[in-house]
Amino acid sequence: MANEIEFFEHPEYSEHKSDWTLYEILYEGDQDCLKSSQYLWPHELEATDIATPTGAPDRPTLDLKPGTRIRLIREQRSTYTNEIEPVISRWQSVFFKKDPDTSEVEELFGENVNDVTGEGESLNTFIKQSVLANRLIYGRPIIFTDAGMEQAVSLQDQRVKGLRPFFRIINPLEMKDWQMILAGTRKGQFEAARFEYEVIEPRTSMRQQPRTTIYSKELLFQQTDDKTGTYFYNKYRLDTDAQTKKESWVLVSSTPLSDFPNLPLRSIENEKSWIKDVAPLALKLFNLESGLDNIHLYQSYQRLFISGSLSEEQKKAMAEYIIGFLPDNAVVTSIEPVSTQSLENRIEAVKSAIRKVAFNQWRQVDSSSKAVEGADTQREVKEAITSLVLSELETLETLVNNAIKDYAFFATGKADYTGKVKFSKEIDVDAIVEEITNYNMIKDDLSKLPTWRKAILKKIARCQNLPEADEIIAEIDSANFQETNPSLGPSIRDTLLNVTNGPENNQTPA
Amino acid sequence: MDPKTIKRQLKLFTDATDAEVKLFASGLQKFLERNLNQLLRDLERGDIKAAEAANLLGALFSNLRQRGLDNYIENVRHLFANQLDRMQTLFTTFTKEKAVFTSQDITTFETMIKFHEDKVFSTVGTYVDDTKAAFMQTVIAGGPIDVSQVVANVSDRIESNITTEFTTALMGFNRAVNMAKADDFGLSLFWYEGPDDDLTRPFCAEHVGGVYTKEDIAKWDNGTDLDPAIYLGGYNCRHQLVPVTEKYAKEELDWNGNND
Repeated sequence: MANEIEFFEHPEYSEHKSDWTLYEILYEGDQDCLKSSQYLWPHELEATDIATPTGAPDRPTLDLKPGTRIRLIREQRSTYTNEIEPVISRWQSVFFKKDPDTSEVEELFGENVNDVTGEGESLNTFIKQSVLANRLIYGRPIIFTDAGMEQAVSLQDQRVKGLRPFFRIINPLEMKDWQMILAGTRKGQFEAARFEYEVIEPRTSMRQQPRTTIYSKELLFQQTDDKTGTYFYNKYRLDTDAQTKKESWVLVSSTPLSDFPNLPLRSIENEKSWIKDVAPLALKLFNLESGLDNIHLYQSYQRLFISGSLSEEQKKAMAEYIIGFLPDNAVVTSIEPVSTQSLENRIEAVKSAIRKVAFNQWRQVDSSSKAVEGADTQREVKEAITSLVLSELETLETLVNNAIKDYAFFATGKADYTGKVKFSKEIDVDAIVEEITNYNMIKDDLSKLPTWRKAILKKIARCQNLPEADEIIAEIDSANFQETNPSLGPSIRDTLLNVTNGPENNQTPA
Repeated sequence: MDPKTIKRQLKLFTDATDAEVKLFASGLQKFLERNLNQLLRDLERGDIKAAEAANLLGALFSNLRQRGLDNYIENVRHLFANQLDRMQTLFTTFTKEKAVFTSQDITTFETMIKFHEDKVFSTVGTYVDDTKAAFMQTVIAGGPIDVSQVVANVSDRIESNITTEFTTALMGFNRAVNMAKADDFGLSLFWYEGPDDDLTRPFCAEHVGGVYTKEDIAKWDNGTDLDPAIYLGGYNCRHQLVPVTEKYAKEELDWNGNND
């Protein structure tokens, strides 16, 4: 219909959203999301449904097909070990060992320097946590400067109403469409953008049920000349027709603001996530650990069988759901528990690869590489990490200072603000390289001394500052680090049985 | 089957075992030399610091395992499995039936093979430690390092040590199983078979060609710390105790019932 509002997704958004979603889920460790078949890869048995089992008449069952039941059980047994969050934390500590110098801009922010987002985040925390974290996780930090402009008709009106400016970090998954200025003095800046977000509608009473609504903000900039233009701030709401259930966008407010120097939206474009190579490894680790836990938990239950002709009443009396029943003369073949050694080896290899790949971003090391770094390469590691972090700090500094200029325009009406935040360029890459180096130096010795190994692991666990540190340390203490030689091919037993054609119990030749 | 044919077959088996052991030992030495040369080549840089060298050396054994040491050492189980296969052939020769190995037998063999695989790991570990010590001394002294020379000097011993160890272990395994399984077939006599040449020990020269009971064997003393019932003359002994029937001993081996 003519008045229907339709929104679209930018092709780059469509291309990258699945990757961004993956990074977000892995970083946040969303256990429920991770159990979907997209991330917890289905086993062939889970995909087949052969027959519908029936339960006893007086014991209703879920009537699940075998494949579905197997899948549900595995999902219950699978837990994601978050290897991404510690990587991000580690990088954050490298980037900002020292806080940024905000002395030049403190006068501009005033007391709001301790709450630049309106949600209690100080300027330093906003830079170190929100901006940097989004850069590392998604590759695309987006800072939107706002002053509640839907409630004002001009900047003057905003100030009269006491609507102070604030920063908001936009998640790349929220910003669905955009357009950049391709030429002129504003080349590379946003010309238009649209992002969607959810709001729990305000209620007048706690007796009202909470209602979530999806809104979309459309920001447009129409250039007048090199210095000014008109900033259109449009807000839409997604309504659902009560009768037809059809969803449609409705314009809620439209505010044109003239004499703006630019759209107050800043980002770093065309950069990759710092965890793009680590994410597939983390997903692989999740699936390998799921397989391992599934085998261990399955094998911890003894399977009992009774052979003979039993009536249904007798079976019920013997708890038919615990014991298996076989007809007369049936022979139970004992199936040996499967060895999980190869799984455990692979899990260790992937964990090692995550550590290596996460802190050697520029090398694109294959996770199955057996390459060993010599001393030259170690030096190269340190120099490359240093220059990479320094380059990134410069880019982030420019982004933050551009956002501060937008903030200054909202606060003062002037577009020529020159105050800047300065990031410390004294970065401590040695800490990361030393960690890897020290580990390598004593790797052989660690493997021989379980007590020492546990002590080192506990020390590393404490350094990570994870909330689960106590649980991790308890697990390390209770772990059995007895060194065994892993078998990668057929087991010794299998090799012998192949030659002897199987053992006969207590039989002697005629 | 006449004794000459059996002797020829036994020699083939011994030669095959020797060849397999040599292949394993020399292959292991080459594996270690090749990979250590690659892993440690940075030590030849004149400006390497002690900390950097320690970093390279500290993870040496782990890196060898990453490069396939475990896969290589798994060949040990095939050495023993091949011995079992040859023993089956011999039993079939005399009894027309295969020896039967119970679950308990398999478990015992498994434990023993694991022991030998662990021993090889330990031997390689000792070799790696010797290599580390040799290099660190040179790095600290500040002198020029020739990685391939140091690796070669330390690795000279590996092939001969492993060869001796496994030749002895495999023959011992062979004899132990023979002795145990002979009872299953009602075979109570053992023919001391093998070469009698310039390399033969006096103990073996005294016994070769003879036929002995278990009681006779229990009284032997070969002058070493190895049990003569299993290891006969001692390290690298090339002789076998072939279980035979009384009839065969008398008709084919000229046994007169005693060993005077």
